Amino acid sequence: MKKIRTLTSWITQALFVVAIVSGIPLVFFYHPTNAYNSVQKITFLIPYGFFIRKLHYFSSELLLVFIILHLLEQMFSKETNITKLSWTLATTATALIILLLFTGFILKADQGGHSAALVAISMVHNLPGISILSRLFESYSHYFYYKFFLWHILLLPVLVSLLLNYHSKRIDAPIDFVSISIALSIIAMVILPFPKDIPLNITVHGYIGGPWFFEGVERMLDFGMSNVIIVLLSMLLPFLIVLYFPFAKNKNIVKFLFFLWLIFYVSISLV
Amino acid sequence: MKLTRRRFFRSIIDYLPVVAVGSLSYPFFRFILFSEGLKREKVLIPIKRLISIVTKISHPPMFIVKEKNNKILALDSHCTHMGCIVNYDPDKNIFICPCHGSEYNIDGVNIRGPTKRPLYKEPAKIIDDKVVVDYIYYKIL
Repeated sequence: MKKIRTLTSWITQALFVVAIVSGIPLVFFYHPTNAYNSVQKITFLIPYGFFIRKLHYFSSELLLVFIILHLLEQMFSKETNITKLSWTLATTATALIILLLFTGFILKADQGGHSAALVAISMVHNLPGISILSRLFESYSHYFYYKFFLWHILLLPVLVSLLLNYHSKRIDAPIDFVSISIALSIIAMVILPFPKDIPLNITVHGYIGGPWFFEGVERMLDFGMSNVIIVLLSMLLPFLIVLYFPFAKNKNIVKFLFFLWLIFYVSISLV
Repeated sequence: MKLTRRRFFRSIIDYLPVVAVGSLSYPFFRFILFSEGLKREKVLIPIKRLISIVTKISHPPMFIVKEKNNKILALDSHCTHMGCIVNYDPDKNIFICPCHGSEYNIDGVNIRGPTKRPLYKEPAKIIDDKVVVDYIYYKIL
């Protein structure tokens, strides 16, 4: 069991490295003022652009999957030896990684990405007391993607790297795991479908969805629930439950609460 | 422990970085949270471009609707629920939001939720052979 736990933490670390490294070449040709066209240029014109974009996408998606596995195994195994500070930093890093994946989804700048950006700005803007924080993301007209770009390529990766650096201080992944992570990402590239970009100036008759991990949020928005309740139920509640876990005297209650939340979120995502 | 003059000045020096960072955080946050406020843009659309009852304008996102009494209605394309860009369905003659399914009639009035508000109307008038729209960004957010 301990070996499996170490294995997933190594793969998670290595996937983060692959996601960062595969993102670097993309920055060279991504222009936030001409976002959609530059993504199409990367995908269809530049040699190996589609391969690097897919590698960046699948390594990031796998990273989130492995983080969830890593979290569950740490939470539900009997012999966890993680410190409170390390757990707190890892929980914060997980929230930031979700934000990192979300800003990545936005930066593809097709109709899906554009809609996701508008929904995110609207949601933050309508939160009482902290609506001013929407200004951290919103920009006008041609610069629409500029702040999302800054968060995605600079601020969030630096913050996450700092947090993960401390969190994984005791366990450094052997370099072999980078190749294992690349192999896993390539297998995912072959097996799983890559989402198509929806061009901006066509009329979509149907549904434009967000990223899979926010499917539950989308369903709650469909039901017309208020922003505050959605943010509390889908973001703040799981964050606080996980954050509180190492401090709790009766850990079984926290585990049960998290399990209940997981069932609720998966169910509402599948509605 | 007795508070000596040396210890008093020592503790002041110890807390100076906190004061420095604290005093920098105010201008820092004021700077990054700066907003230019509502931004307006005058948009000119030649009348000959309006070949159908509803014309989609991509930038800035809006629909120009030709009304029966030869008047023009400029509707902001942003859904008033969460800000997505709505689409026009010519078969049903309604606007539908592809994100969460809100529907609006041809006048921009909401007919199906989750939205609770109609589409925003932009001030528009016909001058010579052009429609002049005074478009306001981000009012819905």
